[in-house]
Amino acid sequence: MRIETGRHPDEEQVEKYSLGSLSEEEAPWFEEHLLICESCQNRVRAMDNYVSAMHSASSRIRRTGSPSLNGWYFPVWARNLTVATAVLCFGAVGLEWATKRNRTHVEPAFAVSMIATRGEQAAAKAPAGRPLQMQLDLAGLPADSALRLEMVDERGGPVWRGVVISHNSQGVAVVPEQSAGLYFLRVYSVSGQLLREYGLEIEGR
Amino acid sequence: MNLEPEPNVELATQGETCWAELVERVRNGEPSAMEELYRVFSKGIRFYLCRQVGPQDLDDKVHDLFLIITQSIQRGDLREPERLMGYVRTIVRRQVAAHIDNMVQARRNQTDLDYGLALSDLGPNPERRVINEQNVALAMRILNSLHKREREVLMRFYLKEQTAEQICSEMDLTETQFRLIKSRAKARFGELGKRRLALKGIFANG
Repeated sequence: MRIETGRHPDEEQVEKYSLGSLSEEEAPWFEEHLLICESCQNRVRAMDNYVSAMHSASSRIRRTGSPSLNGWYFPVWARNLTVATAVLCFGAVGLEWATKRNRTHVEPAFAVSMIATRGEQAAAKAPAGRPLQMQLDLAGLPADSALRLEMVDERGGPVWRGVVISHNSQGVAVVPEQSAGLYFLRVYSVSGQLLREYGLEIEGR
Repeated sequence: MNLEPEPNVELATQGETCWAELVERVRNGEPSAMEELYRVFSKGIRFYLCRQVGPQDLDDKVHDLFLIITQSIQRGDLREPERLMGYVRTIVRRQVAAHIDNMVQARRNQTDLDYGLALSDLGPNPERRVINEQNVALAMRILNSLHKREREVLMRFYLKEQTAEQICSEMDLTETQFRLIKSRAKARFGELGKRRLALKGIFANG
């Protein structure tokens, strides 16, 4: 006896049946068809597996609350790696900061006498990594006046700016620690006129 | 000259299965008709029962059902032979409902495990459990590969069991967009599943 299975249900109907949401009008026809159609039985079986897997997977994701980065899933291993890397970086930065801080506190400023002379002369020397107390020779410059200071590196790039008050042809300014190299300390009038320049060689440790 | 149609000969007319003829033969007690009935409906009934009440004692349940169907037909309970499919469906559904009702009653009446009631594990067998876990892993892989919004659509549909209309309304999606998200995920699931089976075949064949 040849069995005519009739029309097969479409994918949406199979999904609805699997989810238990097929309408009361459609359900009788659908189930009668399933009684005699093996291929649709297999389709329902496959759909049941899929729906069940999606349900379980969704439940697990909802429970674990997987984090996302800009809406994309960030795998747990990648998240952990990122956190570990960030901790290491911050740790390294923190250690460097703490080390520098400790260095600043422990070592006093190094006093440098800056004397302006004509002609070639070796620049004043100072150690790297220590604040510098610049004792400036301001003879011949306006007394009891504020003067602008600028320290530049050998390429002329400014590394520090400050002010000094000339008193008894002397002035004192504290410059933050600098790395090794050749520097020039320039003295300007308030109006911006370059009045004097001192050479300074900072030596590495 | 015998004009009676021989059994198992194609009797479909105008594309319709001749259920009436089969019913008549069952009523007459023909063994071949019983076999035919079993051949046509056993897989479907087994499928339905397994899906509704699990695989426990499936063979016994299927055999019991066929007895009920056959005896019912022979008693003349089936008034419209052309509606044999609907009739079988109705009997199967009633039996499933009765079975579930019996199980509920048995649980209510059970007061003490010392009575020695046999407890059967209704969970999947170990092989089935492994397959289920693999399917869940595939589904997780698919969900995790999606953008958060698409993942939300699928989780609302399969976990929260929200309707398509509700999801589209709350997430500002068209029906087409919604169907596309679903069908892509399902297609991907099928693709990954096939790949997994192919790999298993490669390893099995060494």
